[in-house]
Amino acid sequence: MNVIECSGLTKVYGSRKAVNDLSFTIAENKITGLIGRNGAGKTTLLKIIAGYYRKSAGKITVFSKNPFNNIQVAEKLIFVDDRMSFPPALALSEILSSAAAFYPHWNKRIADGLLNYFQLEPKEKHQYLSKGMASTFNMIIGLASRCPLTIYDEPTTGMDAAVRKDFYRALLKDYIEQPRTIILSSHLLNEIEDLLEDVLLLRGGSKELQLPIAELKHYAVGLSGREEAFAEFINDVDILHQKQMGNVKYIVVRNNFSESLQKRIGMSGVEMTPVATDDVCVYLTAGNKGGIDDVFHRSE
Amino acid sequence: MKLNPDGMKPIYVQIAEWLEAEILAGNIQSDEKMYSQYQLAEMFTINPATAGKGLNLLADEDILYKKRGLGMFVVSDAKERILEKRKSQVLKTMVMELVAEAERLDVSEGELLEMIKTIQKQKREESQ
Amino acid sequence: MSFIEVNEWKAAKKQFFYKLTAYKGFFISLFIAQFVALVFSYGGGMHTSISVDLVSLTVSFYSGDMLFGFTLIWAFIVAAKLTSENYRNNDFSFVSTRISSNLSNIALIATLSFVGSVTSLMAGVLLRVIVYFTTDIGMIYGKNYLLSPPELLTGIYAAFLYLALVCAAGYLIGAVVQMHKVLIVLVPAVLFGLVSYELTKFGTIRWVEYFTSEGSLLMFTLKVISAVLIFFAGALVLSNRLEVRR
Repeated sequence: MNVIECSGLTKVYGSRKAVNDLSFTIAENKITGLIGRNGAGKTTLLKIIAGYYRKSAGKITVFSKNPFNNIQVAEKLIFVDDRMSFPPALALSEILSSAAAFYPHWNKRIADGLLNYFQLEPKEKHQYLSKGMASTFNMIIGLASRCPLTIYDEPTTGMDAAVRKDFYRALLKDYIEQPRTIILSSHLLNEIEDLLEDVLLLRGGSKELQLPIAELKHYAVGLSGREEAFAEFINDVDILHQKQMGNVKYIVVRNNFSESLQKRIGMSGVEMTPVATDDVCVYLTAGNKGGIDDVFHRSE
Repeated sequence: MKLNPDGMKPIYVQIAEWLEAEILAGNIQSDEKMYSQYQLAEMFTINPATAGKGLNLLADEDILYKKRGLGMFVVSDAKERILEKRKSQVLKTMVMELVAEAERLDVSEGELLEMIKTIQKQKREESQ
Repeated sequence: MSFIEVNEWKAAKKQFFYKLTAYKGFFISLFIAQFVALVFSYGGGMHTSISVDLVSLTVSFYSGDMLFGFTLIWAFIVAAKLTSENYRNNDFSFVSTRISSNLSNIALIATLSFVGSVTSLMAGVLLRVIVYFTTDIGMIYGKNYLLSPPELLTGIYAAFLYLALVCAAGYLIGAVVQMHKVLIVLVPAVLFGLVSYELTKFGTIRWVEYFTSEGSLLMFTLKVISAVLIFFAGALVLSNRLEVRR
């Protein structure tokens, strides 16, 4: 069953399309990573899914319903980000007990356990927490609510490395205990890669690609050698990235090579290397193929 | 073992290789129950689907077999199969790389064979 | 109301109880406002003294009007505040729709109005008691100095309706202001203009008089309830398409 389905989804701000003709589905009980640069439309998309923003055009259903202002959708999801706000009069422990009233699957054991583990003072007020502490607290709410659809928008903002590691582990353990649909947004794939089953990559509000994480490792391949050596192989392939290093050129292309072609490339003295998934994401979401180097080339 | 997320091998392949190492080391015996995908997910903090893929890889190579409702088990000749596979696959690619590198360095066939023999001899002496 | 789903009422109920604990500060601010009003009313009583030979006469006026006035201002501010972005975002951290958020706000406003009406009347009684014990009284002359229980209840009832009316107006004005930044300046300016126009032209504000001059309690009730319903419905329609958590 698909939890989220959208086709041609568009969100316009003035003349800018924050989300542009986006079509994808997210299946039930999967952990999906929403990856993209700043301004790629991640947060806008997630807030449309959560029913906070109105779509401008296209179609979107969450649990088979239009999510905007829909109570049946709102009941089944929680949206966690670093801007979650709570009444300033409430202490952390009071916020947790209030949250329990809203979520039928609320797990008090985990909420209290995590609060204690991360040394958050139950009597503390949310607005006095540091950025990282607030993120940690919001994450606890996200985990303990056990919503069928849990959305984390850049959840680790301000967390230190140790807490981030703990968070990912807590997320996974809880997911194994109680499978549900989880979307994790991040501008970096690196840290969350192991947790994911699928990746949805956004670029300029559009879908760059969506595929199982395991396939991302094979998605692209790096070629390095003298330019004339691999010229014949790259006629009809997408070049994702290129870099000149002395006489040797390094290019990253989509891996559409047949096995026999791969052998021929190997024989011709061109070196073929796998490309790390994180780099694949960077290349796919970059503005142009040469990366930052292009800017300096032009100015020469 | 620690997984290497920056490595070029997909995580599920790394999982499969780790499981093979466990079998070779005798930590999991023939006909014993293999870790479930959830145990593996928990052990390595990875998505259960990824762990499942690693297990299926070994099942496809007939190193593990499925018992309905009970999970995956190690086949009785798993060790031999793994060794055989590594010989045919891993060693072969390593030798290919070795030969390619030798060519680049202008090392002749005779020289290469000589180097291998020397190292084997050294190892033998060390173990004595 | 069929456009409100059952689950929306349930969510609104949860939100209402959440707000009762979360916004207890409103009650505290009410008590402070009324205490300040009480001090002013007592200290600010008008005194006129006449001395003729050996006889000296002091006439003191005490009025509880300030008490209720303060309570009305408090009610207006609280209702308008509830429509602000911060309060709305607090709702949307947990399960909420715009309708459930508004419904729970209305329930909270009704509760606050009720508490405000009871306490302002009680504070009025307290003022009388203080005056009785602290002044050297020869004679107390006053309309309603002694309140019979029916009078007290009617007073609370009327005060409740006034507070509800002011709250609903504040809530609507708050909701209008939320639509666009310009309105934060524009709306108060227009209101001020209307009030001064009414005062200079008619010497009174007709749309206030519409309520205050009503002699029949039943008619007053009907007038207030219909106005309150219109105000809340207007606020609901305005906020129902609003994007949240920007």
